[in-house]
Amino acid sequence: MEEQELVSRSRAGDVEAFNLLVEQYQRLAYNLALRMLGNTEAAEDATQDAFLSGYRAIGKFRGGSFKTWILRITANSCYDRMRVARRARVTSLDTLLEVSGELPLQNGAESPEDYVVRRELGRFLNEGLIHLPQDQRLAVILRDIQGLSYEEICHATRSSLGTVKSRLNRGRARLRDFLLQRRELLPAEFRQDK
Amino acid sequence: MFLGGRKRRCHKVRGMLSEYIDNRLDSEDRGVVERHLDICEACSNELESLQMTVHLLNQVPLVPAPRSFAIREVDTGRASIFRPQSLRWLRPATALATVALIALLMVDFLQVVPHDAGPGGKEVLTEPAYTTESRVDEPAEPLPTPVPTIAPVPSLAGEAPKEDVSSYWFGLGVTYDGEEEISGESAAGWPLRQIEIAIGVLVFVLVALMLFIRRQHRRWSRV
Repeated sequence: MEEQELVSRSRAGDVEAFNLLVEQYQRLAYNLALRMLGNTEAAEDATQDAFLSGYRAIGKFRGGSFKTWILRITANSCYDRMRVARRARVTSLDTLLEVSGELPLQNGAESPEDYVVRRELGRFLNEGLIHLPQDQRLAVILRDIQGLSYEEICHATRSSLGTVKSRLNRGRARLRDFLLQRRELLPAEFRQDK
Repeated sequence: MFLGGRKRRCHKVRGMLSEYIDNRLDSEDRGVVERHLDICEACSNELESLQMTVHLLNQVPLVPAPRSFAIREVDTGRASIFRPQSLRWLRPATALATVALIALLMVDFLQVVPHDAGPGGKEVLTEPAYTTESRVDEPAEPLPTPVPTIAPVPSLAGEAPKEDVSSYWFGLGVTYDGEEEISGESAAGWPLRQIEIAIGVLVFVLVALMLFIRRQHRRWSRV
């Protein structure tokens, strides 16, 4: 069924139609929440909240990309949770280790040492992401992990193109600086000094 | 001077490196960046380290959703009265009532339509009641102050006269003892005040309801 038709039916109160949209985008939404919050449980809650809010607010959806619309709601849901966590003086760094940070295996075989390094690097990368300011983190995740175009990021974050470019540039540079603190974890071709 | 100029160029080029990596620069800017990278080792290293960062991020896998996030019918129940559809009829109704109220107030103010405005509803204004001169020469009689009809207490009442007080109460067309002043005159005039008050109350209720629903809806479906 066409996405537009599913949206129309959802707007008319058809929960089943909306759940077909949920099925289509839940992986993307969950991964955004996971990288934003750095915690699996909080990411699940944020994703569930996002889809429920999405259903309730489907009347406000004025066409365009449902994907970027639901990602925006997910991002807002994450911001809400981060705000609550800040108030409760609980940082997502406390539970960062829960996130599976394992990067995929590049070659067919690897030594146990390489496996450890790969796993450690994945965790370190997640930690670096969590250290980014929220807006820069969102832009970097949407672009470099989820592969959205600049225009899609503009829509998902309700920001101008210039703002998106700036956040990406700063976010990547800041993350790079963080990663360079532990060069030994980086792939061999990137270990040489700057 | 030369060093300052180079620093500025480095700053400018570094600001474009992210777009350069994403192939988002036009040919002119791309040429500027590439020519600078040919002669500036620091910026080349900067580019390389940024490319490494992007490369690592591109490898971060999308993990599968741990469970279904499908919503249940029961979870959506609370939303029924707070949906935007609830406001569809409320907005035009409020606007209509407000316009009607304003129109009535203007009609009342300009005294276009005859209405029962005085005590006993007897003052039917089919034309201006008095001219400026008549007001000067003949001062209008003050409205009788409302006096409640007090039921005579048997021990003290004696021959207390039962006064027929049918005072006009706050211009509402209602006597103080509660009898509504709908006499034969109301057929000739419009009970504008009553209509104005009724519509005013209606507008107030509609606006309050609209604000309440909007607030609840905003809280409920924060996007």
